[in-house]
Amino acid sequence: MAQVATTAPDQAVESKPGRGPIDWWGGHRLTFVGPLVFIVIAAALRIWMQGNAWTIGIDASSPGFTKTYRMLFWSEITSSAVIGFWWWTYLIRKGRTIVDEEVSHEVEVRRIANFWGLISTISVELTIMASFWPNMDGSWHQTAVRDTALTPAHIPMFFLFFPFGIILTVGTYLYGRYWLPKVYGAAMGFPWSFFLLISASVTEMMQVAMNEWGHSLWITEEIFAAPFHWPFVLYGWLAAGIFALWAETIIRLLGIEAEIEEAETTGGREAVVA
Amino acid sequence: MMKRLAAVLLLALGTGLAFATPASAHGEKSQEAFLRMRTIGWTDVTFSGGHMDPNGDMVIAQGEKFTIKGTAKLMNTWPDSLAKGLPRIGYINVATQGPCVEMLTRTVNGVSTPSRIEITKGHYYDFEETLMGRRVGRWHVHPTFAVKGAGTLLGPGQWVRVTPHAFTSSIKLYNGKTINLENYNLVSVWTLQVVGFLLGLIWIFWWTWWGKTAKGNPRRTVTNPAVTLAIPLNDDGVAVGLNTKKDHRVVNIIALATALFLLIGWIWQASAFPVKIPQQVVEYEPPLTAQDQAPTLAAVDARSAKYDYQAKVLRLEVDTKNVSNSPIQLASFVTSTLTFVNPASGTTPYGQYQDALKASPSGTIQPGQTATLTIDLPGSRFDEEHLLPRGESQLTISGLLVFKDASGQRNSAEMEEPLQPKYIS
Amino acid sequence: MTTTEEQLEQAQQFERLKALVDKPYRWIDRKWDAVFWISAAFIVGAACDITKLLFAGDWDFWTDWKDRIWWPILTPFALVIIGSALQYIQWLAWRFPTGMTYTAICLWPLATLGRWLQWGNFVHYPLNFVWPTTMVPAGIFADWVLFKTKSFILTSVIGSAVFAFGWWVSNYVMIAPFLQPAQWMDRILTVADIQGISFIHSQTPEYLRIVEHGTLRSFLGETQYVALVFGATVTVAGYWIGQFIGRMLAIWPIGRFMKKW
Repeated sequence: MAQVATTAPDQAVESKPGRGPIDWWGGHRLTFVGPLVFIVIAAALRIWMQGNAWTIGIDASSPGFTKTYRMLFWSEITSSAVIGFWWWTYLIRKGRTIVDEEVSHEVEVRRIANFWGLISTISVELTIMASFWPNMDGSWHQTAVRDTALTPAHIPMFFLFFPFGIILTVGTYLYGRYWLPKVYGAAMGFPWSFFLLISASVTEMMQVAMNEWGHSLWITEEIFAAPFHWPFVLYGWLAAGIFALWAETIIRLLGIEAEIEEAETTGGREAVVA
Repeated sequence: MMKRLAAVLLLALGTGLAFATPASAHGEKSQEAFLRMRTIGWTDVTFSGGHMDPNGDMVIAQGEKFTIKGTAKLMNTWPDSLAKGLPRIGYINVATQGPCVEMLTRTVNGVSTPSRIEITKGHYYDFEETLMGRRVGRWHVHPTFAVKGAGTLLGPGQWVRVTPHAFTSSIKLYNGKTINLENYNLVSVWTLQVVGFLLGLIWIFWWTWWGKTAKGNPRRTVTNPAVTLAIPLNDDGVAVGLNTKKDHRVVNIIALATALFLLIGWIWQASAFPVKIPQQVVEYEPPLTAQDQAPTLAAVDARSAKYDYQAKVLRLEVDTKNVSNSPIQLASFVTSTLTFVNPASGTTPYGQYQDALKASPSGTIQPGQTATLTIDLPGSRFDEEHLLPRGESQLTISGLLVFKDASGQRNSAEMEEPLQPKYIS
Repeated sequence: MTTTEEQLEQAQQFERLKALVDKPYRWIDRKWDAVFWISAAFIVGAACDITKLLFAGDWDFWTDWKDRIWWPILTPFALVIIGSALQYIQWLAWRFPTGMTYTAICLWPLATLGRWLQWGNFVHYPLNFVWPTTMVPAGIFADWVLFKTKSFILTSVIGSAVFAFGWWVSNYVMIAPFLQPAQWMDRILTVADIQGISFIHSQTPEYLRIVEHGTLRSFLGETQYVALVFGATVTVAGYWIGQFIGRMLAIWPIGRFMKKW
């Protein structure tokens, strides 16, 4: 992979005004767009439920429920699977073609900004998963007699946002592996930071199964703070690995700055070695 | 592609929603049949108040009262798998879609009962709950009997339509002051919350935005590790210029302001609310009812419970011995939320949860006599309520056989019998 | 190396560090700072919220659960965990005494939104019945202790105690009006009890309440303070759980890779 740069490492690439690597609507655009997508989806579902959760969503045995909530459930599972695999496949295919290309510092900085946009998206998505829907779930279960695993709160929470937690964390790793090889390249091994973050989302999904089994079999009352629910918290703590992602890329940004300084001190063009 | 998926999803949901009819069950159909049949026997449940509309809905206004009365028997057939077979603590309540109605008074066996009761298997609990309409809409309201370790069992429900009207939830405090539960101290609670939040916001803004380094430059965040990782962990960064003595002064001021805020709050609550008591735990054992002490009318021994899926008839055969001094007649069979009345005894079914049974012989049983009653029940009602335990691990039918004697006195006998479904014709 | 040379080297290193504090960079401007603080706010708030909800949620949901024994023991414990982790991260990385307060102000909008939108708007409980506790004043005190002591061990003891007491005072002020007695259903109950019974929540029968059921001894009415002191002790334990999360799950993985997996 060692190559001598043929262009000055920080020579400006043509960017439209305001669309540079560290402009708000340039490199940082995904920081706004990514979270917004999930906020809009959550808001739309929530608004939709306002009108029918207590009339239709309350009885899983009714035909009306089958036509609405159950169909929503199946749509979520299908779309999560389709979108997830499509995105991962795209990342792997595209990633393999670009991973070995030497890029300028400007391009690398833009990619790190993009990466931070993905992390922002994960942060917001996990928030919707771990705070927004659980509040609705608590309010539902402490009020309504428990019905099935498919309640108005469970359906978006467990069957859309939980799977998307996995989709986003794994996808972000793939982006890091191929687009930021100096930080997360395959030769270095599998990053512990991503291992913890991805584990958080995977174990949370697994805990859903245990949760529903317990509620079916022996958990008869609806105390939210029951020890039976605590694995959700413990697995969620693994998401602290997200801080390491910010730290690892900050270290690379400082590394880029050091390379620029060194190049400027020694004359620039021929000094940078990948 | 995502746009297309979203469009398909929305269209499907919209179409489904257009044809969806409101539900009337609230989770009880997901409870296994044995759980609902072997636990609580609901008899004489009535809703009174407001007026009935042509659809059978009880119409009340916000703030208008209505009453639910009935009797719940904690059956001797109580399963071992619930509350370790020994139900001890109960709570009689209502199930509905949240606080759309509000509890005003509750008596159990004639005694005012705000909270939980100590319960015993085999006993009867006469309840009377007065509620008022609170949230505009059409709600399905059931009386419930919750048992610690088992969960909430639902009785027969009633559609209640609450219409708009001005109302308050008035409570009189110990000092004679009347308050409205809906909004009492709402403003002070949220003012305290917001002021506290603003103090925290000031703290964070100082450190991330307003504060300056020793050289007077805006303070950074992500580039600081270049410095912080090179100084000891227990170094506050003042010597190296990351933080300043001004930071120390500012945090002192904010911490002091916060302490002052809490002190003012404390003084306020101590003077505004001088009398306070801890949350109360009220628990007692209700006295016995007349039914608990009434002489038994019949001793029953169920011989079979057969269900014909094609004919949709559940047929019970029950040996019934009259152990009283008066002729008795089967008045009804009660199981879970359903009551099947015997028209021959002079009663007719009413409401959503009642139907008629066919008993043969239909007449009276004389004192000391034993008759084998064949009771046909419409299977479709069981189907609707998901009460026929076809795919479940406990295939039993349980319920209360309610008998009445010549003077009109009633008493019930429990029956439990393995279900014999006829799977093929 | 002689002592004078060592001193000279240290002084030079010190000057280099001082210069680094305000160094301008080509690509790292304050936008990165803003992106970090705002993006992290969501996951920090959510982590604290889910920890609070599943360790102490029921006490947080209802006024009739906010008793004088279990509420002050469990809630500060649940709240301090994520704040402690953030204290470690933010002190280590930027020497900011902000972890606890940052967690608190990230939690507050999420908790408030949750109560207003879901408990208030979706199920229609009155918001004077289902208000969440606040940890902001408590967080300020704990961060102040960190800045003054510069020590996590001291903060874990003094800071946690201050956190627990600060939390209790700031929230007791809010529950106080609801502890007034009233005659209702032929009994003396608190306004909070009446709220809990009047506003129907079908799946949480009253017997589920884990509140003070009476104690063996009342210590002349001082059980409240015994519970508070124990709550502070439990908060110390929570503080170290948070330190584990910060040190082992957030910081330790930085730059570490698995070779075999």
